[in-house]
Amino acid sequence: MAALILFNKALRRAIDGAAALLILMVTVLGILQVISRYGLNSSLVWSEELIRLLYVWLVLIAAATAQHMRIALVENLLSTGWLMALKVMQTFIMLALLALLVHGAIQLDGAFGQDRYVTLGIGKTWYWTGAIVGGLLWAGSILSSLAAGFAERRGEA
Amino acid sequence: METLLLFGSMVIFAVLGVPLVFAILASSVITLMVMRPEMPMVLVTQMFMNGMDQFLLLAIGFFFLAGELMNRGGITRRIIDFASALVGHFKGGLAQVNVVSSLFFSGISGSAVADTAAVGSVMIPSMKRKGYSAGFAAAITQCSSVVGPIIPPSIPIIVYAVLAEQSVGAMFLAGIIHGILIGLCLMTAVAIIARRRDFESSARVPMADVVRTGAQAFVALLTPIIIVGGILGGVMTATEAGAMACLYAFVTGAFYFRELDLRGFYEALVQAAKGTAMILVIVGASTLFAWIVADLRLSQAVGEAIFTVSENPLIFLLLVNLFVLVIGLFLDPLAALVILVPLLLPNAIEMGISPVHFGIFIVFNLMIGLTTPPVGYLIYLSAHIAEERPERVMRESLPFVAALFVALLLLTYVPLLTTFLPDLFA
Repeated sequence: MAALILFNKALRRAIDGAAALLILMVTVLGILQVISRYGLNSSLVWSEELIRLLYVWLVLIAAATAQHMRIALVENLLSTGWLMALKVMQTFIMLALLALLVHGAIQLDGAFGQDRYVTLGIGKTWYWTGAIVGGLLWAGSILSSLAAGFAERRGEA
Repeated sequence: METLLLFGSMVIFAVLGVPLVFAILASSVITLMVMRPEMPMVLVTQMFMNGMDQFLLLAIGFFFLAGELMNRGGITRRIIDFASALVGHFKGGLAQVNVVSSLFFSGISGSAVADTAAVGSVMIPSMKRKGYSAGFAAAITQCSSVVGPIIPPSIPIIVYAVLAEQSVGAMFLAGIIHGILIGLCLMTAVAIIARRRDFESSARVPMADVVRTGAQAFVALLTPIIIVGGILGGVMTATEAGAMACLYAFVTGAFYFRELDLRGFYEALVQAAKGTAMILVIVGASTLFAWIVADLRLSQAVGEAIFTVSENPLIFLLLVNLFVLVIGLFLDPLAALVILVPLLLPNAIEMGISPVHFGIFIVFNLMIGLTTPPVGYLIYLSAHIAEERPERVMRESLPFVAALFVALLLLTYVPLLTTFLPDLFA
């Protein structure tokens, strides 16, 4: 049980670290874009494509541990048994939709992954892989939190 | 039937506590499966990704980060000190300081939730110590935070500019006068309540202190000038202005005030990444929702319904006010923007309403929804900070919500308030 809780913490810490690194890279590139244009008189032609690619990875990875907006009014009115049933239903809906998103990303990667970024010269597969990795991490984080929550409750009992 | 399925299922999922992004996605997927079974499901991923992947939306992440860096760099305290020096001697001094601090802070952060968290965490405990009820302190904090997304930089306004294909610079300018007007309406409400309840007031601060605190806060107040000036001067795009605001916030916090340490910097990065993700996934999911709205020709249906009632722009705006206020009660403002702008803007333009005026009007309308149940995140956040029951905060918020409605009426029927500055700098 303790291992589950530790794994959940480690996973969240790793996701947060990756998200922090990605937003730092995106910001530094954005600043360099302006400095390069006005300070060095030469534009970084590849920076916009790289920023957009990193941004997609950033959003989908950070989404895995973000506190998403939700209405908790009904939850607050339920008894423990009903609340557990509702949590399971919410988890099932979220996982089903993430599976749909990841499945779609795999299909789109198959269809368009060979297209290339004009200035970066790399394949669009990097873009769709971001959706696949982000979706899987998000699903993993939901399951890991649920398991750690159960483990903590059993530990308390 | 399709409208009921799309909107009804979304409300049901949201009320059942499914995170909003998934509630929007689930209702879209169900509607697609029932109404357009021939459509491939890969469309869901494609629309979701397309919705997030727009260059202008990058600015959201940068403005989030700049706000986080400024807040952790010690700027919030300095802004509140300056506001105290300016209006702390008024009757109900701390409540007035709360409003003025929110006005100043809105020039740094583009989000009402961030404003409530930053200003509320300092102001609510101070107000409680001075004898204000927790409910009142939370109420004025949450209602004054509504100004955050009206004064530039503003995250909802960036999303609107993307949807309506408007200049971000013009949209940012359009919010300035109205943002100040909202502040004045709230200050008037505070003054009336302060007189009735005989609230405290501090001694007037010497002019030297006003100048000293003003000089400290000036560094923060430069942020919107750098952003709007950079965009209007053609020096930077909105996205690049956001990146430069981050650099400015980092240098200010780390080297000028020396309060931003490595830990604070890392936490700012993580919080900004999460805040950005939270918003962008909603925009992605809402893009699919909006596509279905367009595909089912709901926009035309709404347009025809409105034109049946009246072709007068003033009546149109009144009807939209009511419609958006009701939608704002149940839907997150960003999701509502993505869904409503394609639905309503074509009709507004057809009636001769300026898209810039319409943008500020719809954003402010939706922001009022943040202060009212059941979705009103600001109520729950401020109640949490104040350690008070949300119902009490709601009750104490009523006069301030009334003040916000006065500001909304002025905004609706005096377009000059929003179009004056953009026209001046055009």
